[in-house]
Amino acid sequence: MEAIFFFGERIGICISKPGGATSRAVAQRLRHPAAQPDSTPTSSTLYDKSSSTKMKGLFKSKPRTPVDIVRQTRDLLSFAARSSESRESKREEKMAELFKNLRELKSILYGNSESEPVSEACAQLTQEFFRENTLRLLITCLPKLNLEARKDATQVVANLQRQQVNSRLIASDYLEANLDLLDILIAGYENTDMALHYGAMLRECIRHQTVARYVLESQHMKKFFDYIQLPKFDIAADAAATFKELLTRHKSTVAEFLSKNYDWFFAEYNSKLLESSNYITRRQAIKLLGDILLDRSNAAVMTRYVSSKDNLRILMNLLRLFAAKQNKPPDIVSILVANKSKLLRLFADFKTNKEDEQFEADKAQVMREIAALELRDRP
Amino acid sequence: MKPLMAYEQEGHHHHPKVQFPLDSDSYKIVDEIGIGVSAIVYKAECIPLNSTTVAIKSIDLDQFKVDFDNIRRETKIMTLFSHPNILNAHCSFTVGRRLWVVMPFMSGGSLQSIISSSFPDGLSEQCIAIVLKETLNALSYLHNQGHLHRDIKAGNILMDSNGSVKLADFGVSASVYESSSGYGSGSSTSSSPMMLMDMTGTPYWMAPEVIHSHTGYSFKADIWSFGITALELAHGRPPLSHLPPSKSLIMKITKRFRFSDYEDSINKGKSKKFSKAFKDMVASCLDQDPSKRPSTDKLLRHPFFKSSKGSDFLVKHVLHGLPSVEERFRVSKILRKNDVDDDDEDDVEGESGSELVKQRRISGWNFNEDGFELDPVFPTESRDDSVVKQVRFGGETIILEKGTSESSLNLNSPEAESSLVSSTTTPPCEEQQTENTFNAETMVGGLMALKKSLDDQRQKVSELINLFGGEVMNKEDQMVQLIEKLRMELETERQKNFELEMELEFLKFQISGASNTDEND
Repeated sequence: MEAIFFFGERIGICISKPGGATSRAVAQRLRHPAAQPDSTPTSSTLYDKSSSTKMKGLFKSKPRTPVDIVRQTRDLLSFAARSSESRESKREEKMAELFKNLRELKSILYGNSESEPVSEACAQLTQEFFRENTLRLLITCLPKLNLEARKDATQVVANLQRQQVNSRLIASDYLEANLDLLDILIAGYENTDMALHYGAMLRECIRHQTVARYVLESQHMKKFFDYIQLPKFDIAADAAATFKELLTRHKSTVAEFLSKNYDWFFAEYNSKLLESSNYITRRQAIKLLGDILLDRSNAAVMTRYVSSKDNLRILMNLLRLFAAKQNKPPDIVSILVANKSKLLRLFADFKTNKEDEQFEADKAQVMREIAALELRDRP
Repeated sequence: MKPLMAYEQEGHHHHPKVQFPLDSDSYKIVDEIGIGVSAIVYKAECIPLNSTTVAIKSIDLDQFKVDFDNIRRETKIMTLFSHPNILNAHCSFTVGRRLWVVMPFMSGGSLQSIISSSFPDGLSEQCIAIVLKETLNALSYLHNQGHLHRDIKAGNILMDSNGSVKLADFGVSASVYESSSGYGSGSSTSSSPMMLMDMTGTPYWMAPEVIHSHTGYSFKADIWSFGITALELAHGRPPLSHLPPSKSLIMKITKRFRFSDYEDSINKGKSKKFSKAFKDMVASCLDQDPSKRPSTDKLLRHPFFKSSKGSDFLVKHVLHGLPSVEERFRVSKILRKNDVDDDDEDDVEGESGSELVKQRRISGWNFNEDGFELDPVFPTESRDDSVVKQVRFGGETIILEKGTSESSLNLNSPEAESSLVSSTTTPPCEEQQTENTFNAETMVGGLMALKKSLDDQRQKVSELINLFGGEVMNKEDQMVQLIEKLRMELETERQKNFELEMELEFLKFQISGASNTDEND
């Protein structure tokens, strides 16, 4: 989930598993303010109350450990799971308590404006969290929380996927034993209110290879072809991001999946995405297809894909669409230009057994258009 | 994190569960209220929902990277961020190659457009306090969510008919900044052409650490911009917007914006009307050292915001008698048109009008790759984006221009047209033909532009010749390239100079601010 992007990326500091070059840059950026707390001696007199006194007052009554907070959260979640109707006494109070706990968990994992996260506290929290079924409770109770609590919960779950305890990602172990939770997360795309929260959690969970394998090989995979064309753009785009992640993150798993599921997968891919009536879908699909096929680990799949005349015809039509367009989207142009020689070689080598004038004509046109592309076509 | 915050905000979390339709047929476009290179903002009615008035931002998706990560992120923020001072999206859906983002219609428009149309000398301190406090509430919420706005300025603060204030455009335009590799990561590593955009922004609002950024920046950069926005609201424009001075423009500007007052107040220390609390608040935001700037929560406790009035006050003192957003946009459009036909009408037009006209003309040159003057002097901040672009990227290609202009588009605000400005393909020669008064200055300007335009065309012709195999113009091309290269170097130098001047000016401001305070006490 990108709503957590800034905090999300900070994990790179707390644990030694930064998400990549970009996130490292963001992490560095974020390290900056926290490293220099904002209290300034000259101006502090202007403010009636310093935030630290406020914090102290808040925690004075109950100095709880991370483990305490997780336990209490679990109890409150169990309560929330049981009581569906709001009539029950003290329900409101308990829900408020739950929301407060979730925010505290987030604060421990991500740090706050006063302090960086402490890895020891993070480890304790993580361990306690996965010791019992807290994650399951949290996921199933998510619809009962209010918007802010849902966002907090999502950020907590996202963060926990990257927390190592004794250099082990225990979230991965937990999920491996509870793979049905993924079913709930994926089905979230069908629920407008939950889609963005569950979607963000899901994308974090499939960082674990075993989890990604489960999703790839599940029946859910077929549903993504519809999810990424949902009418609500924010949800469709979220599903598309997850779909892309599934098909690009874990190379060996993806290669295995594609070779095993080649027939139905590319049949769906061609008919539902590449030949979609939705321009945006087509544009996204061809980009992703390029990412998949041009990846070295998928070389076998690539060979198989381009040896089909139908596939090539679809691709050529798309290429023609993009190459002939006056205002080419810059990313398309750069892909075409970057792969110009490869594409030309590919097309030149590609011969049909039978004479097929239309095919040859299409091919010639696409090759001409690609050949004419120059770097100056892009900024 | 301040756990209490969540509960204070709890009241606002009941999402109005009205489902807005996800097809373009359900909306009736009423009026255009903003235009940019990659987006148009409309006032529209949602027919199935009792013709509720909405604003629709229609974004050309072809101008974005295909994974739409940034757009996705920002539409998500507009869905999931829930705060009375943040502009939410009702829904978003694709329409052909465009994305429609349906939002509440903010009938007051942006504070920038309000100021430029009716308060050229700035708002009263009481009004400023209300606007800033509401903005600060939004910013505090964003920061507590771990999010930076990164483009705080009057143009991104919108007002509704009831005086409520909402922060906008942490949306797509912020995302564009993000896609451009961020200010923090330096500019040289950009791999994608879009990356060059990291050089754009709105420099007058930009914190020093953002401009120089080798070390990166964070929440405190928003606080700086917030401080600049305070000055903008107080004076009618951000500080330093006159730098570097260009004689002809300064003449025009001073005529209608009374620059001299502002200058005096800054340079000679006769700060006329502002309270100590206000000056102190702004000064704390504008500390060169980010760590010394207060956090949002701290700022909210500043005495300046203690006795701030309610939104009714804004209705009475700001919105009353204000032309509507549509009218303001229409006027600007007409002026734009007049500009093409009738370039030299500047001096007889109304205040904001002639200012726009001037913008148009200059910006027209801007787009003409090398046919412009490198002069970051524009009377209002809405032009800054294009200005910066010029300063930094003069001579870059069209697509870059588009990309960069995109980032300056503002929701709901007529100011958005500024992006259009930089892309208008108005050929300078057109202006030239219709020149009907003999203003030597304009004449020379026009002729210069025409000359540049001819050079440009010559270059294009030679490119064409090359394309078809001719090599006649190779020498010419080489010269053009050389010129281009030198120009780029010049830009860089000018930019450096500009930044230094900005710093210098800031230091002056601080010194004078300090001495003001002393005197006033």
